[in-house]
Amino acid sequence: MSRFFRLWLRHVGIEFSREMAYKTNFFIKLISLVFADIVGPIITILLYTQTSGIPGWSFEEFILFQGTFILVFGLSHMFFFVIPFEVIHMVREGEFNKILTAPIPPLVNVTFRSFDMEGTAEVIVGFGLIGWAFSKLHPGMGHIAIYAFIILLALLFIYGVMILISSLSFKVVKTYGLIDLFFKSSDMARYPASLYGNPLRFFVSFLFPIAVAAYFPASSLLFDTTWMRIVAFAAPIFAFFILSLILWERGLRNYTAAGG
Amino acid sequence: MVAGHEWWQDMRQKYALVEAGWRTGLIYRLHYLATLLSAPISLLIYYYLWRAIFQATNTTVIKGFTLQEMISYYVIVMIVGMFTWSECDKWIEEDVVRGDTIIALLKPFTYFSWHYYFELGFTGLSLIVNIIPVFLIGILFGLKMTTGIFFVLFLVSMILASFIYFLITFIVGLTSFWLFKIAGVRRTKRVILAFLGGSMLPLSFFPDSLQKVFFYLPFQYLRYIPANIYLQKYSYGECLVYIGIALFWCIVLFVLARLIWRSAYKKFAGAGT
Amino acid sequence: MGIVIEVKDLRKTFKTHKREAGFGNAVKSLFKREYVITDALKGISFTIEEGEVVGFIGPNGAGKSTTIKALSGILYPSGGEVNVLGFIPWKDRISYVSNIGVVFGQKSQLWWDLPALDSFYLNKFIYKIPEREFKERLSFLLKYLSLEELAKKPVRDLSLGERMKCQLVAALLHRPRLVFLDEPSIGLDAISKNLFRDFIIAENKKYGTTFIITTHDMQEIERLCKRVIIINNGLIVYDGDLATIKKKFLNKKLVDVILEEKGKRFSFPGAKLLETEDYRFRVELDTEKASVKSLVNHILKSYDVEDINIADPDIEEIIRKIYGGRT
Repeated sequence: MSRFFRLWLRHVGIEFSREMAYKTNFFIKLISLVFADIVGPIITILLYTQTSGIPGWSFEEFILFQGTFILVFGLSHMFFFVIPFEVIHMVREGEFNKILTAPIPPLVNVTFRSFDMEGTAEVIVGFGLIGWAFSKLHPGMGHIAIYAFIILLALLFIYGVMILISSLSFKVVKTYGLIDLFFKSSDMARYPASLYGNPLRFFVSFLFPIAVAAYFPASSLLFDTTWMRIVAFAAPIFAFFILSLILWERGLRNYTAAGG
Repeated sequence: MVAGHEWWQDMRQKYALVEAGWRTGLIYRLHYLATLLSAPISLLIYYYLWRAIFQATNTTVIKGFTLQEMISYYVIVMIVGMFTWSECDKWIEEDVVRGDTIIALLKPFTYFSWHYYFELGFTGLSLIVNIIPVFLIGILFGLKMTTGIFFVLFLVSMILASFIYFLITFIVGLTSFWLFKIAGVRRTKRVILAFLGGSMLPLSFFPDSLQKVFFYLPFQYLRYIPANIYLQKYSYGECLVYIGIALFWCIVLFVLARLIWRSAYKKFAGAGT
Repeated sequence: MGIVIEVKDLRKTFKTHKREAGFGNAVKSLFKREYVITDALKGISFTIEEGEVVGFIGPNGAGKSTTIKALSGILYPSGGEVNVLGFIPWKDRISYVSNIGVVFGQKSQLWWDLPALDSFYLNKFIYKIPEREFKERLSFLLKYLSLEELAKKPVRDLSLGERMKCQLVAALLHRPRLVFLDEPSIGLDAISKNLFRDFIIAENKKYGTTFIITTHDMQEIERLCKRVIIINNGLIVYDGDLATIKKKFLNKKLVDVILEEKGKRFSFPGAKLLETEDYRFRVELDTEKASVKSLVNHILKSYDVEDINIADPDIEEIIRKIYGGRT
């Protein structure tokens, strides 16, 4: 385990020096991300001052909702979003064989290599918003534990999606369209699923459970939830993650069999 | 006759770049498909969001928009967004990073036309592919129709919006001559243009004092003004005033782009990398 | 024959930021910028007449590329005068570049994602080439360089050599009066190289096209250029006949010999042993003292030779001599 951790630290170091090579660009990138993220809360302020707001959510609650979304996507940006790009790049440049011959599981290796520093900006904004909302809402420890657990679930889901897209990249090299589509679809998580009509709500809860990125954790924190409900959300996500791992392994096997 | 022939040759020369643009665009057709799929997703989200807000607020008009107008606003913003799409800052950055700027300079075009006409073809193709499907999807969501003169005024304002968008993008791209990698600057530009242009929320939701400031900035002419012209929110006179101001911005930005290009060229040609 | 290029006292000084590693230095550089000043060209003058094929040679960083870039209009010089085909290249860039053809070693001037053929057709309009002339010219060029099939593939899928041939077509389609070729034979195989050289000679004879070529390949220079301009450290150190310089400085040959069996120590009047190992040795021959033929005869007679290779000394060495040992 400590071997993996040291390897991870090394990749963090590589990423850091890569970003430091173009410092101006890196700092502007951070600022631009902060800027892009606070646009959401600004719109929230405008909505809540000009209208009676989003039904069922007070201003503080909705800020918590947005903070959760930004945190989950910020963490995913740091750890997962680069994975498919890295795989596409390495497969195309013929560098992927390097991954296969290294004495580390390929998926772990690819994940480490895909670390992206700029996501830290989003994580900080996310934590800031959540912290502010917590100070107003005073959630209990039990609720916070469930909230944290569901956030981990959300990360697992997004990791699964990235692995799935990467597995397809071994065969169909141009999976950029799929990545685009994922980001576009994840916009559905930017507002509470309770606003949506039944078919769409079912879709974002179970078929493409992106509601796990904000709606599910935030509503579990604010309102009482049942274990049944948590299991009903968690089970398909675990199943999906295992499926994506199987597809990844199969993709790898086909790739090795085809001789790269 | 001879003059006419020369004019034709000049046009054909520029059209060659347009053609290069749409031919290149054809190679990235998957990208267009993703744009096409994203339209109904966005509209669905906005539809549910605003339906809930209107119900909760318990009025038929918020900040001058009925629910149907609000949905129509987002449909029009989406169409204007496709019409004014430009990625030439990315192309310029790629040139600078790879050291390929000299290629553009070896062609008998100004650097501006070299990028502008290519982009015209590249974006033009996506328009042809996407605009009708998005329009039809919009109608499904209850897009309000507009009438003759307003439609013409809307088209004019949309064309001016595309110039403004291109000029800003071009200027942002030129910063790469000083900053080299500009991914951050480009993202900042995208967010500012979307937010202050009114893509996310109609600008009438902003405090009055800010709206006065927006009046003096070029951003609202990118999305908000064209959409409101389409929705017939202004009198003919007001429409013409806004179109005049948009035209003014086109000229200002064009002059600015020229000045910045001149010093970028000096920087480039002086360093000789 | 008119004068095509006239260069008087061309100077170029680069001012580059001094970049130092480390965060502290980056912050410091925001407030105080340090510059490094390099004199890439220290005042060069020459004239080139129509129909000449001139080779620009010199070590890397000598100022060859800077000269070519100033002449093709993409670089502002710091001083001096340049007149090419009646234009001041960097001032009249847009009207000027239609009159020249340029091939820059590794840079692709064709649209990367499109088939080369598409780029050629678009060039027809960009350079306003009349339909009939274009068709004749294109089919001739494609046939000559055997690109008929390859030109239908996207440029990014072509090999380096194939791409280079396409570049050449693109640079010559509009039949420019003046062509700059910067390291043009990079990536070409031996057959293509020959083809390409014959083609330049033919083009020069037929249309009187002027060629300026920079290369590291001495054979290429010998094959193509009557006149060479040698640049070193931003100055012209030689401008004149290739034959003269060859007589003066190319009087050395390097002979590498690989042996099947060990032999006695090499010695031959007029030749100097440079290196020796068990199964190979290297000799420098002074062609004024003995002929290549006599040396080779001697070697073949005295040793059991597996392989023998005769080469010219490299350009850097010649320049070092011309410049009195300073490079």
